[in-house]
Amino acid sequence: MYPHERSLVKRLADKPFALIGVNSDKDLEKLKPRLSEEQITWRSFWNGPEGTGGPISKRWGVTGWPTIYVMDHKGVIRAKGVRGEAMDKAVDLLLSEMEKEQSGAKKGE
Amino acid sequence: MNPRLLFGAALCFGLVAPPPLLRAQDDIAALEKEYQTAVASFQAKLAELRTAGKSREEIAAFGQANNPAKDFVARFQAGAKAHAGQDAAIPYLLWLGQNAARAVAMSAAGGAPGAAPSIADEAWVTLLRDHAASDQIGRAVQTVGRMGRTLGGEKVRSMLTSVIEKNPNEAIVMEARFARASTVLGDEEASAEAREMAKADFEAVKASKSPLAARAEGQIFILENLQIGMTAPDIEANDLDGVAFKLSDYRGKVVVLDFWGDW
Repeated sequence: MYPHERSLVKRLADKPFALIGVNSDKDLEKLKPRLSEEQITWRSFWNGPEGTGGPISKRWGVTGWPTIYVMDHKGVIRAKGVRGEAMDKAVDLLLSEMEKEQSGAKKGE
Repeated sequence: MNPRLLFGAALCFGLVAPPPLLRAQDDIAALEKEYQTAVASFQAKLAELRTAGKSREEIAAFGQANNPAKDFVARFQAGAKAHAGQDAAIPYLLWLGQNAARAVAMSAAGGAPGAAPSIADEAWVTLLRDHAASDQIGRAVQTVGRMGRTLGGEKVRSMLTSVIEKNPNEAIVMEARFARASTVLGDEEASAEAREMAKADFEAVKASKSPLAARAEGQIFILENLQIGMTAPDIEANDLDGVAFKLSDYRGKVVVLDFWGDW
């Protein structure tokens, strides 16, 4: 899972894109060395000491890990549960949609 | 002394008539065990062929000719038919629903495509149609509720509706309402009516004595805030270094929110 996400983050480094994690590990001290080992550079919320029972995943109805939500630049949920290539496609589509919208807006000025 | 033997001896002397449901469960337990044994020895033979360096074609041909699954599907179907309409049919139909697709798909590339899923689908339909009022239908309700993706959300909802309308057991009705409403959450094609019905279902479960009441409350939040096309609720929490931030800080960017753990 990490390699796929690493390559997505790297490929879209210059784009208006962010991968945000919600980490559900109970023990942060154990996790920290893993971040550098696995080159996990993206930012994550911490779900708290209850791990998978923590407040963020509970509120978002997460019952399986990993769970993915994809939001467009306006913060609207556009895809759920996409993994691997399907996730890449969803992101690319939203980026191009955003570019079109912004170039359209410039022309209109 | 072995209680089965004792029971058998008692039967011989005409002392006990076996209650029909109990006997059916005994039969199905034996049948399931027999199936597991057959699958294990079949897989062992496949492994032997691989170790012996047989070609992929040879192994596939052996698999097609010798897979026990099809015979067992027929036997479970016979069991379901023998007890048609009675509670005793339920475990046979459950097995078919859960195993027929996998069992026959395993049996071969050569098998008729589509045949296996239809046997499984038919088992689910029969279960919820003929046994809608049974107090043994709980497990089927839970399983079918998770099958929106394979069977289609609308179909699953209508199957569960018959349980909701016909079953006299309040706990089962609440389970079925929870399951029916939950199918809407993963179903982008659910109609506005289905979504409204889901809201009413969750509200009813929440107000009931069902053990699902607390979960129903969470599901209502998901239904009203976390569906495709809705603005994501904000998250405000600390990052892994203890620095507070918000999901909405990233407005203006496409965001993948990834619930993950290092395990």
